[in-house]
Amino acid sequence: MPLTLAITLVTVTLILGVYLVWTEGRLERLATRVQGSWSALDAQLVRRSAAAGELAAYCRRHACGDVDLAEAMEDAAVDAQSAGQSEREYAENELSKAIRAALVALGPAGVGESKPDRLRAELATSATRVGLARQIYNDAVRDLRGLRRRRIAGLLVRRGRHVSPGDFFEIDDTALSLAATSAVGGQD
Amino acid sequence: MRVGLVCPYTWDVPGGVQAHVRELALTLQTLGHEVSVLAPAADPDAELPPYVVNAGRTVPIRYNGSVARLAFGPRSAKRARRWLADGEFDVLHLHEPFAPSVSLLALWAARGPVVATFHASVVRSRALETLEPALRPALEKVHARIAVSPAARTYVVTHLGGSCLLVPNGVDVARFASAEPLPGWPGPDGAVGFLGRIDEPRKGLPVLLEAFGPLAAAHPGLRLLVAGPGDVEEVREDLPGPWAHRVELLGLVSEQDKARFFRSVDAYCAPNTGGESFGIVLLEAMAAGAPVVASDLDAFRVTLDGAGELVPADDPDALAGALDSLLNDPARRAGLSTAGRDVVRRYDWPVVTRQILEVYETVAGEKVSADRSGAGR
Repeated sequence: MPLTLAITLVTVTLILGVYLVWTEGRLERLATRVQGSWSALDAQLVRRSAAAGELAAYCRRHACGDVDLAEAMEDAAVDAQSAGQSEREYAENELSKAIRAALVALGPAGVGESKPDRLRAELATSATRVGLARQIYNDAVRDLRGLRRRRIAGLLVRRGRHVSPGDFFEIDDTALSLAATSAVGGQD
Repeated sequence: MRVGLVCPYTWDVPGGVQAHVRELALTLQTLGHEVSVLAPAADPDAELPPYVVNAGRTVPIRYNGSVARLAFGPRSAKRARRWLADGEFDVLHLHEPFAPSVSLLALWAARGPVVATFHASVVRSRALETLEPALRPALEKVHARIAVSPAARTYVVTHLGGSCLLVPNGVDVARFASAEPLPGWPGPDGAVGFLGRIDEPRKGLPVLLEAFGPLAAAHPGLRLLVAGPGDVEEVREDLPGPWAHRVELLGLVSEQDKARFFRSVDAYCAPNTGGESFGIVLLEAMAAGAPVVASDLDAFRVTLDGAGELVPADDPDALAGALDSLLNDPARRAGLSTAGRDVVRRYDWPVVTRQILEVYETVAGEKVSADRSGAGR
């Protein structure tokens, strides 16, 4: 009898151990995914604010579209670039709004090779990429949060040195696709 | 960029997913990317294109209402692992990841950025609901999900939660637009076309055959051209005598002949009774300039976008009526043909592939930056 008990205990411990190691692996993989997709989103946000700044500067110099709106966009781009982690979401959202207002004032885009058209195309592309990267990042955060809510995984998180799962990044980037040339779409 | 594509269904049997993977692979290569495709083959000695790696033999499995040939076993798993190790892909792009086949095997073995495309859509999948907890860890490895149709996207979001991008199926517009009609078709008295499995009732051939009776009486000389796999003899035996000779059964046609088929008819008919998630055949017909008459299914309505006639599904009288008035109205046919070519332009493979590349670049950027931060630690 004691032998049977010992074998059972060893087996249960082994299974539990394998499960813990496996879960730890899942947590780490998801944390890497969150981190990586944040880098991608960060890069696209930087690219977008740079594109917005460049277009705004051009409009200011050449008095195209609404100069006040262009200046507002330029200010918003600077704010977005200098925002700290906690103000980032707000600043990027303000930039979204400023970009939309400025683009509406500029009227429909041409498809030519002129400088303003190229600047607008770059802004449209980077705005689309922000939407894409944001969705991919939020998915990663959601998956990691989902796993950390599980009982055993949650235990590992509390016992281990796991960093925060990251926050969802919510900004309004849907209406920007008005100006976008690409049709990759779909939210929620 | 090095891209690994995985097709779960048998490569040497024609199908929507196979065609999607092949066209995506070819277009990516044209755009200068390195592509390798992992797919099972029914015939071990099958002549595969140089970019396809054989994932082993398949077994027939009933899946999603029809029979699919899938590869799922230790040998296929080993080949998937070897292919992944040899490939060193920047992005791994799996198709139909939850079909019990090489896509799922590759997902289990995957390490880097993964993109998954969902093709099917069923309103409610008991199997998926039951297996969801077991599939959850695999799903966590998928960085970006893509659905090829609004219906497929609803299915993914409903069953798996989270988000899903929408990138439509593509069509090789130029190839369909420039194909030569089959010799002797459509002929002076008109021709109606059907393409799909002839022994799969959901594809609707029985409905069309029933509608063809009154049509054949009203249009002397009108012919019906039927292409698609299945038992041709069985269908031929069941054809009613008086107009049996006006039905041409081609059986399974090659990709080249499929394009020629669409150019050989005055109206293309899709009398499907359900189970369709997108209707790529409708796009192919539109690319070839064939006016389309299709069942009024959600997927078909979205795909046609007004450039075709919709009739109630499973209603031979309505179908016969719609085909009859279309055959009597050349101006309407020409109008539908022009509208169809317009709609299909946004599904041209280069357009669709660039959208998919945007997704690749976004997730592959992750890999590069994750490596960088890993090295800095």
